Amino acid sequence: MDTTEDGSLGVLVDLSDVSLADLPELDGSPFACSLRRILDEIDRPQDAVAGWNSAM
Amino acid sequence: MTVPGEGRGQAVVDPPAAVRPVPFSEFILKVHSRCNLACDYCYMYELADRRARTDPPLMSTEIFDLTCRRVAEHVHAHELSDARIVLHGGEPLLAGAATLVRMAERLRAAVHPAVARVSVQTNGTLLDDRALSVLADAGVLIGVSLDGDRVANDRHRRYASGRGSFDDVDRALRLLAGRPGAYAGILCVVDLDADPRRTYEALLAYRPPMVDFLLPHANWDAPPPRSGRAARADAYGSWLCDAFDAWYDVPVRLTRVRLFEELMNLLLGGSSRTESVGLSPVAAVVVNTDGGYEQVDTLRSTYPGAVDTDLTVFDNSLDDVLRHPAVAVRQAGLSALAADCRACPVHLVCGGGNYPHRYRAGSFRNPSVYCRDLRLLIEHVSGRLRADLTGLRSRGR
Repeated sequence: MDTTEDGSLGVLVDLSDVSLADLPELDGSPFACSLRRILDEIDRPQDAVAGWNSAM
Repeated sequence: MTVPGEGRGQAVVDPPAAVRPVPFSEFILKVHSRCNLACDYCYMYELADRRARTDPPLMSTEIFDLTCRRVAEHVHAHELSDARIVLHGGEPLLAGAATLVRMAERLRAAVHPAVARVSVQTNGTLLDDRALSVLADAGVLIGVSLDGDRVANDRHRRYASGRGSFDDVDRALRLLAGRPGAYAGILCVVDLDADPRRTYEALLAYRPPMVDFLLPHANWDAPPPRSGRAARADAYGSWLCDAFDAWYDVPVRLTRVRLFEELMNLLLGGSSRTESVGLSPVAAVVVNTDGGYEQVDTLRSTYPGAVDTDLTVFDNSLDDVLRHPAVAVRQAGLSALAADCRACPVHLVCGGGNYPHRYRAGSFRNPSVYCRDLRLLIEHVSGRLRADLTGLRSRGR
């Protein structure tokens, strides 16, 4: 894990050198799906709101 | 000032700096307040605030009509392109599938040209072939609650007679799996006495497009059960780590898991779309069967009156509700967190955890009663992501 300025453990993950081109085209793993989502959000930022969690 | 536990509503001591309110985009309509199950952990009937037992059973036509008008004026005033509307209870199917469809049609017409995405969250026991066809043909999405296999589910989700609900929900989910266009997913409450992998696999058997694992509603004054597998203080976190691995360690995603996907997005620098984690503003409001505007109903697990706003569809607009201090706090992000949370290195990810779980002795400005569990899960997911990213980078070189 990374160490932050105050010496504590940081959990955020650095994506600065990752692009969609690095993902195998047919990779549908949870990991690949999460990368696609965040890279898409970076390309098309929107204001997120939190939904109620007692319904799907 | 309202005193928590002794009156209606929440006392907001030391309110955070005012922020521009985010309009409501999710409207939860309590269309039927009664339930045909008697689940022992039910936050509507069994925890701190049990007034649902005496609420009007059905939302009247007058209150429903007013609700449509209030939702429509809010959607139009804020120029929203769509609105998520959940028909909820109690058990909403006690109102009858045809009634729910009529409500959905009315709501859609009211918010037009915005799009109303209408869903029902049901315990599944009344979802027979006919009810499913009526709802699915009308484009109403259906979410079902199930806690895993028969043993796990029937430990808590029972009829008042003591009979388990599994057989009835199993039948409903088999039907629903055949109508994927109407299938929203399955909600599962974590039970430490159930095996996490077996629980996940039991849900997966019904081919849900999405699953969510919910921590049992608890707080510092009414802590969660920690028994069985679980004398350790982060046992819920450990359970969720095992469930995460069961979901994550596959070459192709078999279903979505809301909690895990939102955590991953937060860890990668994005934002969350669920109130369970992260700091995104909460944009949900409840209309009770009596026409009262309420905050999210899970706050009923904390103290009697925690959900109250003292505002109603008769007298108030939804913009009035947005200005309520206890609603504003849910949109205040970082500044609503406890000082201990703001000093914690994972606070951007956990966001302090689900709001009702922070309650202690009259205040929500505390870490979650699941703090250690969330920390364990977040660090676990972070570690898995880092390892996979390392592999991805080495493949790209």
